[in-house]
Formats: sequence, C-alpha cells, structure tokens
Amino acid sequence: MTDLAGAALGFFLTVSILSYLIGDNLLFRVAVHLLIGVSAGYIAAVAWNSVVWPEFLGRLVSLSGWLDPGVLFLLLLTVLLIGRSTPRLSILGGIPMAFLVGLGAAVVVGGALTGTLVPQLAASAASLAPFQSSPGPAPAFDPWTSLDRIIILVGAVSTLAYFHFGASRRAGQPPQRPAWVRPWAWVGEIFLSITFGVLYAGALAATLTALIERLLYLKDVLLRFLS
Amino acid sequence: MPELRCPMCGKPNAETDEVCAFCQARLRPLTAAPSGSEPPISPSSPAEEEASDWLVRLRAQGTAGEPGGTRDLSGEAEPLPGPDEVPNWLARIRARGGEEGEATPPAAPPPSSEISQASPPEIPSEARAEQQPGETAEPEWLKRLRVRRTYEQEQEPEGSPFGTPTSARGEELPPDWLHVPREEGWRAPGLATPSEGQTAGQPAPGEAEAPSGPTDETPPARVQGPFPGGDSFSPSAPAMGESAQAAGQAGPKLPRLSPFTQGSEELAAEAAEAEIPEWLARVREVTEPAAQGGQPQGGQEEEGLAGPGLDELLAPGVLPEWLTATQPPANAPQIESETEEIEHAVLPPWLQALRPIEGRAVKSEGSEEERVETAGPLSGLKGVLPPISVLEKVPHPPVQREQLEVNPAHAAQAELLQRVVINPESREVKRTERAGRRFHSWTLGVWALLLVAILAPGITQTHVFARPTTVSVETLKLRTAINALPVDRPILMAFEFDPADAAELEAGALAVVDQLMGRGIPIASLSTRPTGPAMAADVIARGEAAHPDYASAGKYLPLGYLPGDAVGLRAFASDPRQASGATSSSSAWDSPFLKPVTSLEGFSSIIIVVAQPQLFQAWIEQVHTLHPGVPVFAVISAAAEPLVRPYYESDTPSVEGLVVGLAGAETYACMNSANSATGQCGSISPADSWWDAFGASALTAVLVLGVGALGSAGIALVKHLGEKKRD
Amino acid sequence: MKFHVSVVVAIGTGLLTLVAYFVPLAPLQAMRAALLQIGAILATVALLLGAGNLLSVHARKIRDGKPGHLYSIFLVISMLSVFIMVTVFGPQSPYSVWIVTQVQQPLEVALTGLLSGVLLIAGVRVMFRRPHWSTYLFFLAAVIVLLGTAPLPFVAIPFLQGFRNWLAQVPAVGGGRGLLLGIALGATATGLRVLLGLDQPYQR
Repeated sequence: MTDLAGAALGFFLTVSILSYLIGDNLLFRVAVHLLIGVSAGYIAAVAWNSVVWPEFLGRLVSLSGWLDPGVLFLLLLTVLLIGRSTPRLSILGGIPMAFLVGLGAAVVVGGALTGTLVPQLAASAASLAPFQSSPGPAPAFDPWTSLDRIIILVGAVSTLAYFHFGASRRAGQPPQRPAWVRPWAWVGEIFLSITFGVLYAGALAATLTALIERLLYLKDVLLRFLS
Repeated sequence: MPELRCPMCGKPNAETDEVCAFCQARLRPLTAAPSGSEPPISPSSPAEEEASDWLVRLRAQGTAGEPGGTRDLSGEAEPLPGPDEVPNWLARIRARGGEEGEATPPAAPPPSSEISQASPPEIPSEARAEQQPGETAEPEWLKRLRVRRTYEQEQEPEGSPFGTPTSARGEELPPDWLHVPREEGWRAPGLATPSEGQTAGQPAPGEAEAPSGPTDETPPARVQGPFPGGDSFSPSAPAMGESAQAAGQAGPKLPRLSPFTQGSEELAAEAAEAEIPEWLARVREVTEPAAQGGQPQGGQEEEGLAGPGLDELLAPGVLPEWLTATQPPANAPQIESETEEIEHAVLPPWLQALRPIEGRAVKSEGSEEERVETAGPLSGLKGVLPPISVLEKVPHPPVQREQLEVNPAHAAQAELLQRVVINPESREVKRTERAGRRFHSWTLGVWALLLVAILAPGITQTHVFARPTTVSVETLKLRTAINALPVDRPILMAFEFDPADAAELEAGALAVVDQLMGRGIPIASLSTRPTGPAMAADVIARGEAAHPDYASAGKYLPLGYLPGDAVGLRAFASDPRQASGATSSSSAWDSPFLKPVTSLEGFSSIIIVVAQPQLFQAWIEQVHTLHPGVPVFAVISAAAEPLVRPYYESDTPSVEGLVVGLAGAETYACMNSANSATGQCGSISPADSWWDAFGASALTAVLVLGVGALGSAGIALVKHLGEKKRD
Repeated sequence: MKFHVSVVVAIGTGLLTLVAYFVPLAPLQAMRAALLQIGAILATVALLLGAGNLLSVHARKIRDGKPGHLYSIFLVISMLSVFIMVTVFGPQSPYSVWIVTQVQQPLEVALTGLLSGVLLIAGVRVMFRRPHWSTYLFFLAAVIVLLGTAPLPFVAIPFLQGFRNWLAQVPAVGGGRGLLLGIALGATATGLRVLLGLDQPYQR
C-alpha cells in the first residue's frame, strides 16, 4: 500500500516537474515549493535530532552540561548568533561568525596545503622521472608512459599559465600578456578545452542517467497501473 | 532704558553714552562745522580730548594773527592778533621793517607776478573781511591778495620800503630773496620810474644785492611791456613783500639782473615784446601814464595798490580774463573727444576672448565723492567707502559660456539621454511573459528525440547495445581491494550525495555494496549531507534485500549525520567517536564490530560515494592526510572524473580505486554477476536496466551535437568565403 | 585593518587550529578537537536558524497575502509536517526514509533530468554563437568521451574506448591537475587573508 502510494506520489511529482517542458505552469510551481519545504523540513529535523538536541541543548537539561565549559561557550556563541538579528546584540553578532570563519579558514588552509598542493606538486614533479616504479627489481621504463607523464606535466603548467592575466601596458598597444606566457597560455587553452569537454560529457551522462531513471520509473508505474 | 546701537560694531549702548563701550566709536556723528562757526562740541573722551587739542592748537595758531591754522583752510577770516598775542618773529619783522622804513620810503607792492611766485601771504581775517561783496566772483588768490594788501597797509610802519615781511602760515621768515630789492628799473605799477639820478646797481639800503646779472652803471633799460603806454619793465623787480617805494620817489638803485635790461632800447624792446606777457603790458599801460604824469596818478595808483593800485589791476580789461575768471572761458577751445576722431578697432576673436569679464558697475545711492559719511569717526568726511551692505550688492560677473565641440556621436547620445529622461515610457522595461513560455521548435525536437531514444529500447525490449567487455584499471583495483579486505573489520562508507544524484550513484553504490555484502564485510555509513543517512539507508536496504543474512547479522552500522562539512570531517578524523556523537543514543558504536574502533585506523578502508568533487577533496584533505594508511576508494559521478582522477594518477595516489558513472557501475555489476544466457549483469544494480536507454540517449546527444557542429562550421565557412569574395 | 573583537576571535581561533595541523602536541590537539566540535555544532545551529528564517519569510508572505502566497502554503505545510514526522520518528526511521526516497528524490532527480536537455541545447547554441577552434575542440572531446562511454549499437569499437580512456586519463588529468593547483592556491591565499585579518567577511 505504501509502495503504491509512494509510486503514485512519485509519479505525480515526476510529471509535475517534467511538465516544465511545455512551459512554466501551476503544477511545476507547486512541485518546486513542495520540494523546498520537504528539504528544509528534513534538514532542520536532522539537524535538531542528530546534533543540536543531543550534543547541545539536551546536555543543558542536566547539571553536568552547565559545568562543561565547551557547552557554556557554545551557549554564548548561540545567543550571540541569534541576537545578530536584534539591534542590541547585533554589535556582538559578528563574534560567532568570526569563530566559524576563522575555524573554517584554518581547516581549508591546512587541508589545501597538505592534501592537494603538496601531493599534486609531488605528482607533477614525479612526471619528470623517466623511470617508474615496478614490482620487479629494476625500475620500469615505458616510453608511452613517460610521454603521458610529460603531457600531464605540460598540461598542468600550461593550465596555470592560461590563468595568468597579468598584462603590461605599452604605448600605442593594447595590454598583453608577457611574451613568455603567451605560448604557454595557448597550450593551456587546448588542455582546458579538452578537460572541460570531458567535464561536459560527464555532466551530460549524469543528467541523462537521471532522466532515464525518471522516465523508466514513469513507464514502470504506468504499466503497473495499467496492468 | 532705551538703547543706542553702535554704528560700527552694532552692539547696544546706553542712550546717554557718547562713545561705544565696545569699540570706542562715536555713537553720535560729528556734524561738519560751517564756515565761521564755532568749533564743534568738545569731546568727552580722552581720545577725543587729545584729538581736539591739536585742533584747538591749530586753530589757535591762526587766531594770533599768524598765518596758518585751520581757519585758513576753512576760509574763515582770521581775527587779527592783539598786541599781546604778537609772536616774536612777527615783532622782529616789524622791527626790521621799521628800521628800513626810516631810510627808504615804502616801496610799492610788487606786481602780481611776483606775488604769485612767492608763497602767498597770510591775509588777516579783518583785512579779508574788507573784501567787497562785488568781489565774490574773483578768484580766491586775488581775494587774498587784496586782503593782504589791506592788512599790510594797516600794519606797515612809517616807511618801510619793502613793507613788513610776513611769513606764510606761521612758518619761518620768508627767505631773504623775497626781501631783496629787484633790479633797478623795475617799478610796480603806480610807482615812479627811477630817475636818471638814481644810480643803477646801488642797492637799497638794508637790502642785499640781487643775485646774478652784471651790474651796470647805466640805468636799466626800459623794457617795453605788454601794458599800454609802454613801460619800463625790469624782471628784477623787487620781490613780493617788499614795500613799494613811495610814489614819485626815486627808488633805490637796483642792480641789473638780466640781459633784458642791457643793451639798446630796441633790443630791450624786442625782448620785452617777446617776454612780457600781454596782460602785464596792459597793466603797465594803465599804470605808466599815472607814473609819467606825476604824483596824482601815481598817488592814485599808489593808493590803488594797497587799494587803488590793485583796483586798477583788477579793473576789467586790465588783467587777462583767464587770470580773473573763476570759471573757464566760455569760448575756450573744447578738446574734442579723441574717440570721435579715432575709429574703433575691430578686435579679433582671439583678442575678444582674452578680454576680462566686465562686471556691472555698482550703482550706489550716491557717488562716493558726493557721499558724506554720517556715522562713526569718519563722519563728515567725503569719499568714504560705502558700507558693506552696498558692497554686498555687487553682482557676480556674468558667466561666460564656453563653446563646446560636440561631435555627432555625442549629440546622438545626449539626445537619447534626453529622450529617456523626458519620456517615462521609454524607461519601462517590457517584462517577458513568464506563464506559458514556449520552447523553440528545434529545442522541442531535441527533447522529443531524447524521449524517444530513452523510451524506445524499454518499450521495444531491444538490447542492441553491448555490455562493456573491458574493465578499467581503477575499477578493477577497487574490486580487487575489496576482495582482499578482512571481514572482521568494518569498512567506512561515506554517502556524500544528495537525492538529485541518486540515480547515477546508487547504481555504482549498489554494485559495490553488493560485493561487500556478498563478502560479509560490515559497513559503517556516515554522511556530511543531511539526507545522506536516508540515502545510505535506502541503498543498504536494497542490498540487504538481496542478502538477507547480512541484515540479520547486524553488520550495517549507521553512524548518522556528521555536521560541519570540512570542520566536522577534521573532527571525525581526530576522534570519530566524539565527532559522530558516540555519547548520543546511537547504538552503532556499541556494536561489536565498532567497539574496538577507537580511531579511523580501525576501519579497513574508506569508500566515498560522491557526486561533487569538492566533497571528495574535503575527505582527502581532512581525513586521508591524517590517516594515510587507511586506503580510500571512491564511487564518483562521470561529471566529477576530471577533478578526481588527478588524485588517482600519481605515484602515491590519494585514492586507490574508482568507479566512474553509470558505465563503471555497469562494469562493476557485470563483474559481480553476469548472466551469460540473458547477458544481463548484476542483481541489484539498476545500471543494466538503464544501459540500453543510456546508450541510445548518448548516441542521440552525439548526433545532436554533431549536427550542430556541422551547421555552425558550415555557416562560419560560408561567412568566411563571402568575406573573402568581398575582399 | 579595523580592530574589533571579532577580528581577534577569528585570528585566534584560526591560528590555533592551523598550528595544530603541524605541531603534534597533545594539549594543542585536544584544544583543536574541542574547537572543531564546537564549530561543527555551531554550524548546525546556524543551519537550523536558516530553516527558521525560511519558514518565517513564507509565513509572513501568507499573512500579508502577497502574490504567490498559495505556493507558500504548500511550502509551509510540507516543511512543518516533515519536521514533525522526522523529529518524532527519527532521521533513519522508515518514515523519514520514505519521505526522502518517495518525495524528495523524485523531485530532485526529475529536475536533474531536465538538465540533460538544457545542457544539450546550450551546447548547440554555443557552437553557433562562438565558432572558435577551442569550441570545436571542446565538443570534439565531449563527443569522443560520450561515444567511448556509451556503447555503440551492434558494434564495438575498441579504438574508440581506448582513445576515450587516454583522453580522460592524460590530457584531462593535466588540465584537471592545473585546475586543482589553482583552486588550492586560491583557497590558501583566501584563508591566509582571513587568518591575517586582511579580509573580514564576518563583519557587517
């Protein structure tokens, strides 16, 4: 029963969304507003059930929670965050946001340095090595692999050069990139075109999969209702 | 108490005050004293007292018969000084004059020329008062001369030949040259000419010798003067102030002073005609007959000088009109305006542009010259600057418009702007109709093609698209690694995708979960997305549906929602129990599979099911860097492949295996289970059921893009060829 | 730099967390863990406040009768009902899962499916509006990847799949690595600017 109700509901909602093909209409708008309401309600409920009540407000019910400095500090920040919309406390409303921003900035900086910059630079530098590690005693040398590595390295460097937009002004001429950057930027444009082409194909494939899933779902429900 | 406003500073003062208490200015103006009236009101303030003291002294100087003082300026008649008020210098002059008068008869008064050359004498007020009313039209200097003569005649002692010398304005005695008898031969009108017995060159007694001019024993030649009757004029006439010799008496022998008196009479006559002005000649003509005639006339003339002589001089027709006229002659030649004769120049434009901006003249109530100040310390004076209120009325000079060079483009833009500003309708932006928006025909065709391509294989039940036969290296690595995992250690599976990406990722996640459940490996699910736990529960439920014994073993360990995104991941990597709410009511951590797990090292591996590359990056940066020993695998969307694969393509990869998109899910499902009879792969993954639709839709997309590329390339080529032809 | 308590809080918190990345001192690590925990919970509180704000906006819209308030009624009703249900039964209860899988998922997946046609139509339009060599190279790569990903009917062209794999594994990885490096450098620079107080996005 629930399965049938769910199927019917899913059918109705899918048709409502796909009705946009014929233009913006009432069904589509209702479906979108329903989506927003359901998403927001579910997110709020999960946030309350999984985090806010058990980790914060629920601990204030007991005395031990009031003795925890972390909880008290969290309570202070929460009050300031809520008071951000009031005239009196709006002056101090930046403190909890500053706390979050500072924390997030440190996490991002530390993670970018250790998780992306260093490993990717190391991988790019390793591309210059003609020999690769192999399970055997001697390092393996594969010219095609080496060529691929060099192409990857050239692609990485030229992509970075493409995003160099510093230009010098000269009398009587429009601003131009430095002469040594221009060929690298042209090569970078090639690599970027290929990369974004692959990205576009992947996005197209993913969305096609979603469309396929919905259309086949509609077909199955229709067939079920018809049979 | 009524107040009186100070005319200078504007502050209030008592009505009885004379001077402002703030700026010391007079509160009541000083009225200008009329001629002959008493001096103004004595000042009440010390400053005023000091100011009035000098005024009084100045006036007092004139009252003692001394020339000078303010009375001279105001034209007041100076009172004659009394006998007790005669200053010492005057007494000395008189005394000297008295001594000279004993020796010489009083000399006739010098002619008016000499009178004009010397400083004007101070005429006593009484003598001045004797001026007859008929003489008001006479020039001022003449009036003074007449009065002075009168005074001198009265004050003159017995027979001073030169009279009492007077000094001008109470200053020092006139210089000696004023007393020096002039050259012999000069006789004032009315005076007898020197007789031949008179020795030329002999100075009068008491007189110094006249400078210059060689002396000559011959009597001075008589120079023909301008006056009728000729005359014998000698420029070396005695100076003004010298008393005239008595009529008829031979004057002292005066030294010759100039060549005019030398030589023949003809020469002298010629020189006289050239040098002597006409009016002087006329004066001589008037006086000479009297002098030649003897006493009576001379006496009459003599009398007229002090009185009668001057009268004859002042008789009409004697002196030239310009000398006696107070106003310029009527028939005086008028100087014509030069502008009438000179043509106005035409200024070139560049010169006109340089001309200063001419402001309008300030029209004051009265000319500044005529305006008499009535307030303040400057009251009574003329020519005072007008008050500020008048000055403030000065208008600003007119602003000159500059000529702007406007080109047609600027004019068009300005006109457009003006039209927009003036016409409100032009500002309205037409709103596009939102309701009932229709797609273009070709877009509807694309949609139709897609729909047909997706639905046709399912409707026709055709399987024309081959299943993948080759497995990618990264997918194989994941499968191999899972096959090597221990079954007693749980695996952490992160469901980092939203319901929108569920279609593609659930296919891959189901394929991986199928293998894990098939091996009986415990799965601990976690998600930083709020809907992640629900997605994980759905996937696990569908997998458990295919593996019932797995469900009963309780090997699914949901760790729930991890808040904070990257911050929460870092906290989880540091202390997974605390970060995932181990103190909460969740019983997952109490499971025997998770009890020994105190850190992430307790998990055998981490499998991240993610659609967005940023979330994958966060897991690598925050979790893998802290625990590099825990292998990481990923089930990713095809759209995230270019940004995730660099983490794989490395000598020390951060991720060791990948399942990419629907193709990877189908491949993985085929590796899990493949039905050789039907050719279908997988048991729970829906990838196989979507494979034909996916192939058809992908081909349709390729077809649409190809047609578009060909069309655009063709159009561009045609344009290019057309431009080439034109060139 | 405007001096404010917020700046001190941001810099102090950030520096303390960043130092703990590189200095493995136990007290420092403990303090960092506490800060991270507090930050995660505070972020969830902010999420909750955002949901409350959304509810209040639409409730005001309904109260004032503004245009479109009928749709807001659907939003408010669905939001409140889901919140109550999930709070009562729990996020991982079958009812909650049902809401996600039977209501939210169909809607979101359908919207994602609409994107496929939009992407295709947009690609065709780009080719006509910008006929540049890079545009054609872009779509050539996309076509090759699509043809290599999706199977061909009746035939299988190995060269195509191999070329597709090479394209995704070599040139695309080169470009992707450059993009990742650039993103990481930008994120590092932005984070350091915040930690040094040069940027204060938390100030009004």
